[in-house]
Amino acid sequence: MQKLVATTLGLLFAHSAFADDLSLDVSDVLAGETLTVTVSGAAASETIYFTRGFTAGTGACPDILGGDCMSVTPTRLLVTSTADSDGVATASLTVPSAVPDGVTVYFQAVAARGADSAFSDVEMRVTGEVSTTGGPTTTTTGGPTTTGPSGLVVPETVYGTANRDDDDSDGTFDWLDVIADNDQAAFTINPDAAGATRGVAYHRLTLDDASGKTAIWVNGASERLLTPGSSGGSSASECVYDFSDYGSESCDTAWDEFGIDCATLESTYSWDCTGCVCPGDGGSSGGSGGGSGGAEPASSVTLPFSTDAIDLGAEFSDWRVTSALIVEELDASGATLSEQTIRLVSAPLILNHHLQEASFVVATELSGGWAGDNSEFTTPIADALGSSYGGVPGASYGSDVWIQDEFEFATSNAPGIYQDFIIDSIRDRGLDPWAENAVFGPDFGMGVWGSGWASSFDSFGNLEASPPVTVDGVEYPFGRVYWGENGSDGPTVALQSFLEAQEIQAPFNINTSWLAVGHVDEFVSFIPDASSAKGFKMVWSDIDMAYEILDGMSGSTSIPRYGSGHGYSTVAALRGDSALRSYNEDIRDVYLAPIKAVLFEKLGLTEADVINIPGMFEEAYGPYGAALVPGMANLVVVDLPGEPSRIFTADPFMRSSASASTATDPFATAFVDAMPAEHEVIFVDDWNDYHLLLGEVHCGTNVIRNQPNAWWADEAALSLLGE
Amino acid sequence: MTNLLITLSLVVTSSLAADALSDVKNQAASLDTALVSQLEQITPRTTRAGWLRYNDPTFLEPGAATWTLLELQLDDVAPEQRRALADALVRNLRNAPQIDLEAAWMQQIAQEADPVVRQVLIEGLRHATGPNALSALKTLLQHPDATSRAAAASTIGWRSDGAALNASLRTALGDQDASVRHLAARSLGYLGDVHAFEALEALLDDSDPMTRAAALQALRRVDAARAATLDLSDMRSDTDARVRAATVALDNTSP
Repeated sequence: MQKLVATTLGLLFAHSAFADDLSLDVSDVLAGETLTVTVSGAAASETIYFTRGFTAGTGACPDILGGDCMSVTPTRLLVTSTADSDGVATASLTVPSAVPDGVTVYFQAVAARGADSAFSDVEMRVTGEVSTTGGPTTTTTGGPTTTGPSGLVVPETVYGTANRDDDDSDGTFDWLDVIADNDQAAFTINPDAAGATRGVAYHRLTLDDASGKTAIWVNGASERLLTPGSSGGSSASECVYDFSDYGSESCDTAWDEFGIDCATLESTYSWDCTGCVCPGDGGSSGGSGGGSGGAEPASSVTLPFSTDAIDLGAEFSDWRVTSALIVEELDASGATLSEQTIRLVSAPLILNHHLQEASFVVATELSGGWAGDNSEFTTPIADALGSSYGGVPGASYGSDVWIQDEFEFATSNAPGIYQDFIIDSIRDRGLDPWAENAVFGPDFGMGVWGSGWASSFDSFGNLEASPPVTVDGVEYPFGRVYWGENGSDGPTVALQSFLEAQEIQAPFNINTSWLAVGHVDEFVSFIPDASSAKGFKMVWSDIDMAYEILDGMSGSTSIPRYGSGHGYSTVAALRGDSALRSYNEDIRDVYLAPIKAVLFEKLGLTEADVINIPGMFEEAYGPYGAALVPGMANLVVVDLPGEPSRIFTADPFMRSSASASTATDPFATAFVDAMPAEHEVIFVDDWNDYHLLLGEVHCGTNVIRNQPNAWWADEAALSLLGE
Repeated sequence: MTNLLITLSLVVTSSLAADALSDVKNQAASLDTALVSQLEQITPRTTRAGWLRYNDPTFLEPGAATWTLLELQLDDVAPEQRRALADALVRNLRNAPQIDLEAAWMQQIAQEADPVVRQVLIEGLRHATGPNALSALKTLLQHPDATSRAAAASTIGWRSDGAALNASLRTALGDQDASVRHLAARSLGYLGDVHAFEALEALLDDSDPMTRAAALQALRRVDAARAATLDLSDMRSDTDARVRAATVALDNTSP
């Protein structure tokens, strides 16, 4: 475990210890109507912060809480109010009319007193539900129910998600391991109150799941249903790493096929059996055991009739699973009196995009030693973000600064369930173990798709998601995924296939073959723009704009960074290199123009949706290009709740003195002038440790973002999923 | 045998280079020991593309070029580190040209066995200021390794005096290797060689799409008015997006 990151993330995820000294009351949450929140127990004239989140768990830890954290996540400040002389604070706000029903929302209030802050309990409400008792106290999936002719009431559809985090921190996925933090989709069957008079003697529940990727937990963990022949916890899909190229898909399949146990595979063959059950090791090496249900699971269970509700939980091992639970009423002879079917659906994995709130930013920190010191890069980020930033100790991770490339953050959520997720690239350079060491754990899942030789296209600066778009009438409420390729090579096919199977972000590719690194983040990005009808703008590296600025500068202007770094010591030398100009024109005409056309087509954009910023390229190796002027499109948007939106990007250093203000730099001012006013632009000196090594700010950072909207309550999302 | 001929050719065309590496080796003892000590402790960093690079500014010190040349002679340096050394050498001499070391640089190209290292050294010749760079590049257009020929074809186009080798580049348009044809076409466009028009036009039927696209861009550069008279209907429906895009660019810039 790496100390610095472990500490920082530990702070992020640790449950805060605090006294529940505030009493919070929350009215029903009904679309278009007034929501009233009231706190008592505060000090007179004290400011009370009312927050909300979509799940209960450690949330934001702003400095004003003196190290404590909120217990709703993602934490969003709703409103503040000042307590009256009786210590009561009340606030009202209108629930947006677009808020769908069935969304579980968690509320918490806090009086910020530093380390002595006073918190309320977390209150939960389900949008659209009218409560008579102050709100439900258990998590449900919400959604419509059906009542059969018998009076038996079941939900039509239950939405859950792949249980791929590690709530018990045992280093293995939770699927069939532990039930914690609502990782199973809870739902209820309400028996017919008159069932006994109709001769109902039993309820029979039968899981219909050809994929073997669904488990049903009955009345807690007392009974568990699995389809016979399914994994029962030994699925290869649980293993983090795919070793197909080395003879078997995983450690578990290697045991089945060759009788080689995990211990041998790890010690002799250097395989990593993380997440595997390891049946050949007596279940002691990597595995999750077989759940806590006791007896071997069956696909069906028969329960004596009772009018008490039957509490169930649906758990999935994978995304995009569709299965069913058949609920029958039986008479004393076992004959079926009625039958209803509940659809069981697991969530898609959704990649984050730049319009989602940020919750935590990471970067590799080099602090002396052979790899030098990159504090000029990390310090401005750390200073701006405070406790929402964490440094990864480079000395422990091979001084690998390209943290954007090793990991892609995503979310995997369902009603009442929220998991962050980290996709670990098969790139497998120095940072590779960081996901397991510092991230994989409670409410944070992890997965790897593909194996074997990795090209630069497998890095995740080459895997991005656009903001929500509408294309030819089709809404993509979670944006669209895109990656770069060269016609014959791209990200590993296993990952492409998986992302395509999610459907909700409909991936497409663009040609990045002309770049030495070959990543989509080298020339295009997206930023929020509140003034735009679409809510965002596409930021585009514009070569003509760069030359226009250069042509308007005094040729004698010295540009010392470019002198030592690129061989151009003055503006005149840079703009006067006719071959360089021709090279950039080629890139503009032959590559960037068609790429922009593809982005316009696939994202439904026009030039009005574009913010041009100056960008220039040079040959880095062979005919392949890299940013000559530090790539400012290679930016990162950090929109922390309750804080100004920040854009971190590379200082272009197109000025005589590196220490002079960026306000004197025409490239920097062009960037600032082009940005929507809502953003604070922070230029970062990435020159030596990133730019000269063919990367910029986005490449050197990564961002955990807050949960996007509820896909299960979004008609457009459900349509994309075929629901 | 062919390699030997190339080497000999280089040596013959550059009498300065003949003993240049020996001269460098003789300078080893006079190197600044403090600088050498610093350089020896610096480890190359991994670029985002995966290859190594010395990004430490110490490698831009004048004395560092001699040290990197000496390091390139050692047998126990890993290939990826030799590549980084070659890159560091090129960037050092780009920033502070040293004619005597340029001669050694070219001799290193001639004797270099690793094609990747050789490519880096050849591409660096765009910055060489000495009198033998052009003749070396001309010779390298005949190198048996296609990557080296392509690097030479590309590098000539980046040099302000590259037009002196237009005839050799025109010959390279008929190279059997597509990357050589592609980069020779590109360079002729960069250099504005009007005499290459017919040869470039002939490349519009080339089997390699990159070459077709480069030929279109070059035609536009060498004679836009004449290029506008060409029948490009096939190019507008070319199967390759890059060729179609280059055709659009030519259409948009036609008088």
